[in-house]
Amino acid sequence: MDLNNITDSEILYRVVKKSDPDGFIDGKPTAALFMDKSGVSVDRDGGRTEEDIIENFKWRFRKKEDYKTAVKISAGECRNIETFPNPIGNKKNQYHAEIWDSEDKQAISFFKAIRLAQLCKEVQI
Amino acid sequence: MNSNLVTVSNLAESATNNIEKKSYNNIGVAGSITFALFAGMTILKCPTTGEIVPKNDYSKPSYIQYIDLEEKKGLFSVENNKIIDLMKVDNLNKIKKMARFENDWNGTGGSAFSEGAINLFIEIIEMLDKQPGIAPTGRNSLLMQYELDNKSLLAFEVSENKTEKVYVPEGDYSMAQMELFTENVGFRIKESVENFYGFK
Repeated sequence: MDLNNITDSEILYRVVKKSDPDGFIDGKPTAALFMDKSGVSVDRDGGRTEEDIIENFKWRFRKKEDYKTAVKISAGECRNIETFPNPIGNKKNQYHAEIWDSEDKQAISFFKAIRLAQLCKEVQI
Repeated sequence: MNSNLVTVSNLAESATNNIEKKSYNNIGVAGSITFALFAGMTILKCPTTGEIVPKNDYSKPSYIQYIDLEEKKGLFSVENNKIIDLMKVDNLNKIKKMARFENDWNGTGGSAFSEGAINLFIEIIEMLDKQPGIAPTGRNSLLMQYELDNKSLLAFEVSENKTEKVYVPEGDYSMAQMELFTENVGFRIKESVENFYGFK
């Protein structure tokens, strides 16, 4: 797995905490889940199984047992709506990535956030 | 008249009620039965034949059923009003919770909400007759959205300096319309919602 590139088939996961109970409306993910002041932080699958990714989220939020769920979307779907999955990684987490509005602009526009919400699916684990 | 009959009937049939038990004890069982029979015979006596006429089933008086129906109607309308109010209350409670969020409340760097933004959200929610679904965003703004069965979507991102509106007719994102409000935001949102639901 080339961690410097994100292929279209790679899945990106956005964690949802228990202490953020209102990111869903009528049981459906909302655009609010993708509206950050900069790029949308996600974990890319990087060749891992979905179980491993979710276990990692649970471990990350273990102190307050604050993991609630996660939503997922493929990098290809992100590109289809003209957002830019950026494999930025970081020291703590090599699978960290961000979805940007475009290659030059980080914060996702409202309309693109609505599209991401429409296309993403909740993880069923 | 009906209520008298019911009371007599209850006295004869049941001694579970405390008040009835008291009157049983004070007058005495025999006296109560005699009085009940006398009163019942007097009230039920047919003016021409002198026979007891059991025309109705007094164990379930019809007037109670009538009142019950009216009460149900009343409750229904009260419940409807409550549903509307409860949605507003629910949204206001969510916003009050948001006011207590600290930085990184969503685990992905979400900003704490400013007092000005919270006050604006409350003001808009208070103004709206038709309440939206709401969700906090990580950038000091509030998502408000309405969706119809035909997948039409009306959504607003409300923030302190501007509000963005997105309208998607019947789930067709290629036909989406966007608008930016910077003044009279509450009024513009209310007007958009009324248009969306065809109130105007």
